Amino acid sequence: MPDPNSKDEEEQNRQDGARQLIQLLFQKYLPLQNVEQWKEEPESFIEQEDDNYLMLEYDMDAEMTLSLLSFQLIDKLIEKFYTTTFPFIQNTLLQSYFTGNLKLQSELEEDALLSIVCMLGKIQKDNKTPKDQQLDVCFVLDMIKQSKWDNILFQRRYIHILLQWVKLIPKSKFVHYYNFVLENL
Amino acid sequence: MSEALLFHKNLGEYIHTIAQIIFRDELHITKVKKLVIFSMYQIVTTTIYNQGNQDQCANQNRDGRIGLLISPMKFKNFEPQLAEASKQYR
Repeated sequence: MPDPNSKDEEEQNRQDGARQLIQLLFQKYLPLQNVEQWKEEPESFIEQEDDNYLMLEYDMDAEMTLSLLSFQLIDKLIEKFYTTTFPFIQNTLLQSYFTGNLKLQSELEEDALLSIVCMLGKIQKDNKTPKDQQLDVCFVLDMIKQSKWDNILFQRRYIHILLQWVKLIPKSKFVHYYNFVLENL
Repeated sequence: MSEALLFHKNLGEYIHTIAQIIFRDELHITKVKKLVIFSMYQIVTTTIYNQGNQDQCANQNRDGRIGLLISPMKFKNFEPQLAEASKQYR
């Protein structure tokens, strides 16, 4: 983080790498790369969110896609630099996405951005983040329900988000979102 | 241990190089991209890189692993080495 009050010039000009990296990674690398495989071989379409794939050692296998690696790096960046990265994601990335100011190239990029919402659910659960400081995930779920539900990619994302947020969403609301899946799939 | 200190002093350049490769993705093959993302992951999870972050220090301690640069007593013992490392990389 840059520190404008520091006497050290290096500190004054320090760039906030974590936020820059998150934005870059989610647009360039995070979008699913093997989504075609999902259509052709749904049973073998495995990714981190489905399988809790952990990067315990470097793996150059084809299954370890750039998307998977990016997912884990972004997750770690948010966890380690939470105080700057969470406001950035909430107030800049998601805010500009919801207001139509963030121009994304494809539905895969949109899906990639929403996958960060999944990560936040896990991180805020682990951090025991107080309710009033949590991301308004209900807003995200409602948005998908209302304007994205006709696309199977976003149906899948909705379920992923719901799974990651299951312990944070109030029970009464969770039933509402859960029933929506049962009734509409 | 001095290697770790040298690495710490030189980490900025290392991160810069890796970030450059990530930013100029069109120049590199997938294997290289995978390698740099993995390298960045390793940096982000490195104790030394996180030593300035107080919250992170608390997490590391909770894990039962107190790093050299987190413990003030141990840090003091290595001041001469730290000074030498700084001099070499100035």
